[in-house]
Amino acid sequence: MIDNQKEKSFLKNVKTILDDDIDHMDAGTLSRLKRIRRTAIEKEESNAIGVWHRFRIPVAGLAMVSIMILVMTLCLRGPSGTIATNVLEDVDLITSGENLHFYADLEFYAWLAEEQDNAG
Amino acid sequence: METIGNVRLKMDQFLASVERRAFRMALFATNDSEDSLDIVQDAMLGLVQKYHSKPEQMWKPLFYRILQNRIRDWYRRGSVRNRFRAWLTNRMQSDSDVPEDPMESIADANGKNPADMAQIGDASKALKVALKSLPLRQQQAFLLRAWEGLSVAETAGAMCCSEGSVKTHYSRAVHTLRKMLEDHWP
Repeated sequence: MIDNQKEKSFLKNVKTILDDDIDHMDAGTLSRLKRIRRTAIEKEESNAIGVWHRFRIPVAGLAMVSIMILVMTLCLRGPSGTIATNVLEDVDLITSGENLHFYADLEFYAWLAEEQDNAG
Repeated sequence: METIGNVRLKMDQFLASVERRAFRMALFATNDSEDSLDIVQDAMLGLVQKYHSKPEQMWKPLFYRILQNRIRDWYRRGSVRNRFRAWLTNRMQSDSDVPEDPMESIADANGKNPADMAQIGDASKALKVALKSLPLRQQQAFLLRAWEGLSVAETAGAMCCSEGSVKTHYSRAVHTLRKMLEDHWP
């Protein structure tokens, strides 16, 4: 118990000396530490702005492309809306879960069927 | 939800609260002011860039973890070169007529008598010498626990070791320091 109290007293003395030491740190070191801290904070600010710029361009680009598709769709739409319908079908096709290779091979199968008809 | 500006202000306040102790801890480990400033800078940048979005109560253990990693990196990078330089600096300081701590040459505004000042000055010098002589792990465990006030768990996180290791390093450091400083603090 006594030793525990002595240890506490010792640790308190150590802390006091170390705290006193940094309270009287030289002005040059304090100034450099302040500069380091400022640099770190400013770097975080510039990184945050950079991230915003990095995302802003793709988002703006995507918005532009979407608008262009919409405009083209509206401009190209005929009386019956067939071209727009084809565009929409294409979009539907691409976004469907079907294997696109199947559709690419359709032309081959159509040709094969024709050849077989001719042969037969 | 905190605004970004508010988080930056709190981060600035936090770094201001730890920068002096962090510098001193690095200085005890490296005995080189320039390298210590670099280590502190790396720790600040690391915390700000990677962990600024973490809850505020995590900043201190995270900061000291980065600091400890940088100190270990310093040792790994140039152990032979740096130790020679540190030894040389120690030799030069001990042989030099310039006092190690400039504040020791300034009169105490609190009115302590010269005998008290001499005792405090001696104890301060003796403590610094004793701390520098400790093995790195014991030294840093002691400073993080006894000076910075980190818990055993937080210190283990900062030093990337088990809580058992922290307790061992700490108790050995306390034992050694008490033995070395018993003339100043019986």
